[in-house]
Amino acid sequence: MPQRSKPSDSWAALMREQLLSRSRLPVGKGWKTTNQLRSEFGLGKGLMEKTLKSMVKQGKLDRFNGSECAEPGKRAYNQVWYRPKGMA
Amino acid sequence: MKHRRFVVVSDNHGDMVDAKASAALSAFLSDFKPSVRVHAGDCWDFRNLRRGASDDEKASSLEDDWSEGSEFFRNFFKGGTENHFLLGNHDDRLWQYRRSATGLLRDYASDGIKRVEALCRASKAAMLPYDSALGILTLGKLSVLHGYHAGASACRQHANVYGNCLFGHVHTAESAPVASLEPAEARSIGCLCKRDMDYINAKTGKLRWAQGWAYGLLFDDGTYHLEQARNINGSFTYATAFKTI
Repeated sequence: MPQRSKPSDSWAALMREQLLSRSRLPVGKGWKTTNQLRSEFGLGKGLMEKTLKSMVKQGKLDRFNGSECAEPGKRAYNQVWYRPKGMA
Repeated sequence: MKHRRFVVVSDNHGDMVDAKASAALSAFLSDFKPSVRVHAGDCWDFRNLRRGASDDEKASSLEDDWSEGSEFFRNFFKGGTENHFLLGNHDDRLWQYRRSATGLLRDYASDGIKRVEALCRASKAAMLPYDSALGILTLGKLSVLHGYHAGASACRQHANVYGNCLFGHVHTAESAPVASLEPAEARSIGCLCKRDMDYINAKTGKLRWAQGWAYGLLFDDGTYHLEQARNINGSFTYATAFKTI
């Protein structure tokens, strides 16, 4: 955890470090959230989740359980990302 | 008629500043020696603090952004006798973090804000907030603001709301007079940053961007004479003397 400092130009480095530490995002390309996939395929929430669950079970999709902040300074919340199996 | 020389710049965006535009502005300031200097906002880019920032943006150096923006700030206001700094929407991202739910982020943002305030004190610059009512500087019959509309009709919308005004924000160099009993013309003064920023690369809007600044004379009766310098094929041309007849 970064240490609190007196106001100085070090605030920028400490703030960047803190911003980076707040989200646990998937590494690599091609990851999409359920909402992104829903708008891409035009499916409803229930059907999308059912489809994703089934594709993960069939081994067609990778799943990543992480977290992210939707807005500056807000708390991080759990988020799930998917991408086609074997995509680097 | 007695007058004061003024200059208005905007949108250098911290470490995204264009070196050639910045050097041209320095040469202009040395030649023109304006006593009234206005920075109309977005002195820093603060892309790390953007809502929905990409991983690359989050990882980019906030330190470089801060130090280059601060250097520009100090150099611009050096020599001015009446200095004003208007916060832009990018600068305001730091103020948004002051309300962060996370204590450390709130503290670091407060530290950053204190540093901006210290810069203003050292440069004797009065700071205005990013606020469509409170963030408007009045210089006689001319208003200066960062900009609160975007898109192709931004200039006309600003003329409708603020009358005679100068603004940055949209990075274009254009003007729009609107029908009004009193003269009402808005001028977008251009930017001083690079055109190849990640977030705008795939958008055609950036092809309208222009680098430049506004300057001129403020007369004692509140009227003014306005000029705009802009990058044309890599060169900036500006006037250093005026004659009133």
